[in-house]
Amino acid sequence: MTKGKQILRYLLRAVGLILVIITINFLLIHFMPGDPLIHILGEDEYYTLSIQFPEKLEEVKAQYALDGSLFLQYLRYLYHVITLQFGHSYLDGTDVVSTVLFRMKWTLILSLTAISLSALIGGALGVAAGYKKGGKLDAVLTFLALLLETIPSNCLALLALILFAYRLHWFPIGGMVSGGVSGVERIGSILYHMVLPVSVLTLFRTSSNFLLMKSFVSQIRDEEYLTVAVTKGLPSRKVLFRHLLRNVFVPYVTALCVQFGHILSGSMLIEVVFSWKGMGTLIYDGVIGRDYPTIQMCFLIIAICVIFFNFLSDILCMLLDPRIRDGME
Amino acid sequence: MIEIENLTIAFTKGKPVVDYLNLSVPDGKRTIVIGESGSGKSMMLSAILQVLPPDAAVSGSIRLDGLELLNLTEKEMKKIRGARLAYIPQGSANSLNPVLTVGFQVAEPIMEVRKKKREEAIRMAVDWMRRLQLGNEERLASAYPHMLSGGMRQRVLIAMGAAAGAEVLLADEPTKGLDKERIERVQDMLLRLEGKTLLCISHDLRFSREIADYISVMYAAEQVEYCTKEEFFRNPLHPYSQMLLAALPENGMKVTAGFAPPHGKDQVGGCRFAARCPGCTEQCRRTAPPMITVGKRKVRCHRYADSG
Amino acid sequence: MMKNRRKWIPIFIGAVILIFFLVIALFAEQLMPYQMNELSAPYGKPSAEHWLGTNDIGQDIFSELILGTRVTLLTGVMSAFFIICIGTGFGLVAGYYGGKADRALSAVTSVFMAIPQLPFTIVLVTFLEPSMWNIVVAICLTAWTTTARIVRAKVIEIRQQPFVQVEEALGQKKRVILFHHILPNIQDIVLMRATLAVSSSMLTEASLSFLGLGAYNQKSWGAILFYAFRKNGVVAGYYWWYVPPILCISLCIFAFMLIGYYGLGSENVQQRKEYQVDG
Repeated sequence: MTKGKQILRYLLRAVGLILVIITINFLLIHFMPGDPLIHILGEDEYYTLSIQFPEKLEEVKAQYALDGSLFLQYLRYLYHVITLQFGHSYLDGTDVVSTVLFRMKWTLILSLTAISLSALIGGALGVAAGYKKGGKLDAVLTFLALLLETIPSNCLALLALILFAYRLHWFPIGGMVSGGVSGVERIGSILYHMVLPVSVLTLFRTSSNFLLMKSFVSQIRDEEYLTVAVTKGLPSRKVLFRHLLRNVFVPYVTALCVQFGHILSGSMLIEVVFSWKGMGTLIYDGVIGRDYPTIQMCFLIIAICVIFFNFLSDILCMLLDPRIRDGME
Repeated sequence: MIEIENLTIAFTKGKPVVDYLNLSVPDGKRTIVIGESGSGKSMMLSAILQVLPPDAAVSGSIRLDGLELLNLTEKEMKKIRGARLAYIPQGSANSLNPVLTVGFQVAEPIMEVRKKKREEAIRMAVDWMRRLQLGNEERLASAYPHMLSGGMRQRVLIAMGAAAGAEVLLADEPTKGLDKERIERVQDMLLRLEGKTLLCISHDLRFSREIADYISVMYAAEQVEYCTKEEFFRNPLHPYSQMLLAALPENGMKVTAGFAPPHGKDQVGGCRFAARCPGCTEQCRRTAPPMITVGKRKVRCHRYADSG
Repeated sequence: MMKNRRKWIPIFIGAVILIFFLVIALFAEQLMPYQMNELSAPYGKPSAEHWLGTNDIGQDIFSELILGTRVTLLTGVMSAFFIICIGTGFGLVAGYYGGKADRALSAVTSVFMAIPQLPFTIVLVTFLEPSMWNIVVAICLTAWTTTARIVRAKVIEIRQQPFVQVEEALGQKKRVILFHHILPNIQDIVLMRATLAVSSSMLTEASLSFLGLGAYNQKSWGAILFYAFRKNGVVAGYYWWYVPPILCISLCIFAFMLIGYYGLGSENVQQRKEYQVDG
């Protein structure tokens, strides 16, 4: 199979999955208990309209393309999604698309920092522990990583908030930036507000990256070609970097790429705890206020992001690994 | 010249995988160690190269031209690997690094030992492969290991091991899993490396007959016979050697007993081969035979106690 | 022997902790010092009457915690049960029958794998009325995929083995081979996946109820935490309100992990991350 054909296949799969997600979203609105308009307008407005202005309700129905056959509705829904018409939030009436895009920026600031930091730290620790598997470093780090997995991230975030913000007053109790500052001072303030949420996020991601890298390294460490590399008289440094890390690189990078897909949704709970006004808190507020248009768009964007990065990871894997490059799975 | 004396390799658990092995590999000759899988042959090669797993305990002596390898530090050993001692691994799928080109991997010992730049080393590697007649060398150099057939992979490994000009080559079952035609190509290639000292382990008797100068037979972690190829195929002394030869198709494939070395308790004290030996006596069961010199040959069997 | 004993220590500790929680969950009504409708003064500090104080509407937090054990465990166990049933079923059929069935089931699996789990679960619970059963359904819908993949791979491996080949050559019915020869050979994996599924479902449940998606009338540990956070228990420093649920969640997950990871098998670290809720 040629390279182009392979890419086309991945692309088709990604597009297909996105269609499936959009369809699921459509079906959710239409087959959940109650009139779909309830989910679009919100309960209060729906009942007000249906009692006081039933003819207005029909208008709204047409406006949201909820009349006509199901298939027609589906096509119209598809058209709305593609043209980015998600309507208005019924919490504050603002345009959903612009709100989501604005919140996305803040989430990206948080997640990108945490993902990059943890990719480096977790990777390095994983190499160190995996290379000397069963050693002291390995035992200690693995224990810590497993311990971390028993604590839900929001719980640890809460404890960190209470200790470092409320008790010790080292860091602000929430938010993203202090009021009335600009320029460099503003950037400094953002960084200061970021410390706690980024630390907690990084801690969790580092632990999972560590375990991942460790298992990659310890698998490849036992491969015959590493022994062969040693018998060529190569110094340990070259065996490690040229032979071991080069082979670990491909699976680690593709795994990181998949992680990037969760860049919008992965920090949700942490955002809520530290009242960081990103997409996570947007969903949280949406859930509490039953703001369906906002939740729907968030979910779609998150899902598309995940699928896109999965697609990218397949492509990366293909380009980096000669075995898969030649269509050998 | 490699001289191995009383080499014993044991892991923390279980009995030794190599037990009091004595073997000398003469310069410029091809010595083949014959024995079944699990008789500790591969471990012997790892011990010579000092790439045994960390939980292996090694005792005895391994000398390369008089230099005691077991006393060397890892740093000193690195100067010997590749430069004086080269390893030719089994041609299994993961002996070559899957993400590096064949040319680069063959060039690697040249870069390391002769301190050449990458491009020059790869050029030298291509020349070297051409001299060994691997065929289509330029394309081969830019190929990745997964594109190679099993036979080609084995020949690349031989070229790679010998690339830096080491005098002593240690090969681990270079014909394993190959068909007759491919085995012949590997044979040709090893014969083309005339003048090198080759220590090769194998359980392929036909292949041994083609290329060996000396034959050493191992059974259950110890050496049982050592002689020249001619003597071995004309007149094997040890009953195990006789069984091996009898099992060859042209000799009628007479398999008198199973082929795997026996497990466990039946070998405590006596000869390890006793349980499967057709001429086993009371003495064989009680005492282990020493290595007996018969003319220029050596054999570990009570039968020849008087011929020494 | 030594190795065996070492293997049993974590299982034993895990089992003791679990039995402790199980007893609490079973006899919650008898153990609760107060019923949920007995209200005292709100925001009470720990005292002789209320060991862990009272919450924003004056319910006894200790009783809340005991009742929460039942809700949390039940959610975790029920979710795990369905996850394992669906996952094992898919894996068995896809792995054993192969061909078209395998391709179809694998396609379904990969679709569900591509759905971002926590957000999807949130959307689902939002659309459904918040109740324990809906949370279970929402968790199961996406969490079964990893188990299906692992079981499928293992079944394919077992199918190649001589004893299955012999049965097939003898013309034994596929159904019989599946249930009498293959299923018994994957029980270790299924058991391990089950314990891990319980702990990951509990983690997800904790996240969902922390986001306020828990059932109103059945408060889990996560829901207690949600109210402590939402009703300013955290800001005001009422540690007796938010620390106990955190401890309970962690201890319970720890127990399942001891059994599932250290006890039953530690072969693949990555595979444990079935439903990791990161962040």
